Amino acid sequence: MKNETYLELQACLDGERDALRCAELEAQCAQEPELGALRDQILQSREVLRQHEPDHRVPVSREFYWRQIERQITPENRTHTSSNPWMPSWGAALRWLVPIGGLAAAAALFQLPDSPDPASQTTSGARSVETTQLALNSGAPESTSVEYRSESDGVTIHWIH
Amino acid sequence: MPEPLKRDYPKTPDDGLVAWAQAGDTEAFEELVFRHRDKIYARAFMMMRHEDEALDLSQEAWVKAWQRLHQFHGESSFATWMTRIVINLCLDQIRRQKKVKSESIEHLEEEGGGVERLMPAEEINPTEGLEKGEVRRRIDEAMGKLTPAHRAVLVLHEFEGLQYKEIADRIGVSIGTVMSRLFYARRRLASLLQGLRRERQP
Repeated sequence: MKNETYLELQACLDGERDALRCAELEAQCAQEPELGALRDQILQSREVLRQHEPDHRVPVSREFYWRQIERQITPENRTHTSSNPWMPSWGAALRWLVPIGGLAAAAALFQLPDSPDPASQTTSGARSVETTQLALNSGAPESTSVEYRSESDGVTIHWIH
Repeated sequence: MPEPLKRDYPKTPDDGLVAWAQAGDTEAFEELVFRHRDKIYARAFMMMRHEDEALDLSQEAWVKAWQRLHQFHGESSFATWMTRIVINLCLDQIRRQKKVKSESIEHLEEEGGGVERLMPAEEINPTEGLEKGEVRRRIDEAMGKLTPAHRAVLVLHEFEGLQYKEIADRIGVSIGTVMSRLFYARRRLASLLQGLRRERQP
């Protein structure tokens, strides 16, 4: 059997061919069991699909789903939209990252001249990380920081709380 | 002065809500979203098979619908119009993904004749004796194993009821390609359903 015959048979079953050609193919199906089986399979899979369309529900709450749409369609928010309509959610996160990142960068600059701490070095040369908490002499004695130091990269970063 | 009548959104039919939304009433639009969100999301999920992507695309479809509400004149139902929007967004996304991904082996097999195309058709009904929910689950699983291009054709033909020509226009391929993809997708689906039946037989 040729591929064209298969596709024509399918087109007949989908109502996309004229009745005369379809009658010819139907007669051919009666003579050729393989073609007949193929016709039955197409009909069967078509019916099964149409009668059992899988059901999927929105996996978030109505409010959450709507808020994200509303943010895009209300005039006060539309003026702030970027070329990417979903950017505002990232933008909100970035608004927090910018000051935190700036603070971390400033702290890193402050710490870079530090000499390497021999206690935190490893013989394998792999990245070593040391985390400590200390009080800063910045006039805010209650402040503490977490330090990240990578000897292999030559970087020290302070997160200030 | 008498208080103006409050709009009863939940009891208003779609066309009434659309008219209010066209006049700028976002609450009417919210009601439309609430009514049809599952259907729109389900269609996006069927096309993309990815929860986050389906969620983003379905929400983007609602935003687009709001922006184009003035173009809706009721030629079809609002749900049909919305489904068309979300499907177009999914097709655009599939096209973008296809550009960055290389052609799959499965696709190459199809172009070269395909394993399922040459396989003899089995006469056993793979869903016989199964409950509706189980059949749905199996179909869903099998649909997930098709390539996006094959799945798109199957969804447009079987669930949206589009003709070959309409599918070809929507996807931007020839009618011959639609026929070929549909044939391959059906045979592959039948083969996957048979496989699932065999796997679960005691």
